[in-house]
Amino acid sequence: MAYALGALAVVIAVGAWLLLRKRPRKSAAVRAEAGGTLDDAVRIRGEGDLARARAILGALDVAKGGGLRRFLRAVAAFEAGDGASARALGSGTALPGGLSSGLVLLQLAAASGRAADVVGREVQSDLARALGAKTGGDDAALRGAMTALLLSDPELAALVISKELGMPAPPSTPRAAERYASVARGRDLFVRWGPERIAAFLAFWEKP
Amino acid sequence: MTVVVLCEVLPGPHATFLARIRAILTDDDRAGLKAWLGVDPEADLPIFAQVLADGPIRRAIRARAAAECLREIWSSPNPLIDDRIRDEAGDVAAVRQLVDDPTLPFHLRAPGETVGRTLGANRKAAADALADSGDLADLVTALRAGDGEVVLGPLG
Repeated sequence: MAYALGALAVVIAVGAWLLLRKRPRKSAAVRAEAGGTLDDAVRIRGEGDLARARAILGALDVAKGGGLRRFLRAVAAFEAGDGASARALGSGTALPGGLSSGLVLLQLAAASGRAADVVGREVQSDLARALGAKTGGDDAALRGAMTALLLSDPELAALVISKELGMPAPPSTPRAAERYASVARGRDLFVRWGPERIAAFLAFWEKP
Repeated sequence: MTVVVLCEVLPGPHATFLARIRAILTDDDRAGLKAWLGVDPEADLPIFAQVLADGPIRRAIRARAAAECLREIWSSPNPLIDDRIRDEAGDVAAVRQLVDDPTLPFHLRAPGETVGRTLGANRKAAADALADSGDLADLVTALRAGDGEVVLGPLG
């Protein structure tokens, strides 16, 4: 009898272990979400699943940290009505992700095509103006911005001509590539997210 | 033979040149470009996208800018003189900018060439930093001879 009870206990223990082993744990779920990329998060949020987008952004922020990941994580929290969580992702007046407000304004100007009025300010960057004119399909503004860029930074102008307009241009330099990428990456994400929503977040962030 | 030259930028003519090139590029003024430089832009590309290519438009713009806006004040027959200056530059920004200035406007640079400029207030700083380089004495003298913007680059 004792032997049978002992055997039953072993069977129960093994069964319980097997069951528990198959149960998805929270850390595994987070790891699964972490498999998503920043682009995935933006796409999923565009499809209407804000909660899942927030989960991916949160996992990415924890795994890789900072920058646009944390910034968009805060934007997603704000959109979900969770302003407290959004604010907790920043530090004082600094934007979430340690992004400078100047850079975000350039990215937003490039995404919105409204360099003359980005949340009440005017953006002076020739690069942001050129990218914004391209986004807005404003040929006259594009010519004006590209002329200014040719005269102020021809290496960067070459990169814009090549990457944005698909026209032949001399090879560029790592310095110009870094400057271009710093604005263009945010521009691409903000265009997909909706520039007006990014602007709304900035207005929220700057409220006392 | 490649000659590296140091040129002073003539402020008045350069301002006039800038106004003209800005107007042509901003308005995509093909007739104006043809009348000014005697070259025809490609029909299917805006002019601003054609001025960086190493072709007839770039060469005509650069030649015009050199003729109208620059005055040579020093030259060296050594095509590697910019490397020599770079060796002496250390961390002196005024000298580094003289040999590597990525923001030098396109009309003052030859395609693919390393060139730079030193703005007026930095000429003395650049001269001071190069003062102990005996073989660059003439360059130092040229830098000290004025306070306007100078451009260093290959001739032609």
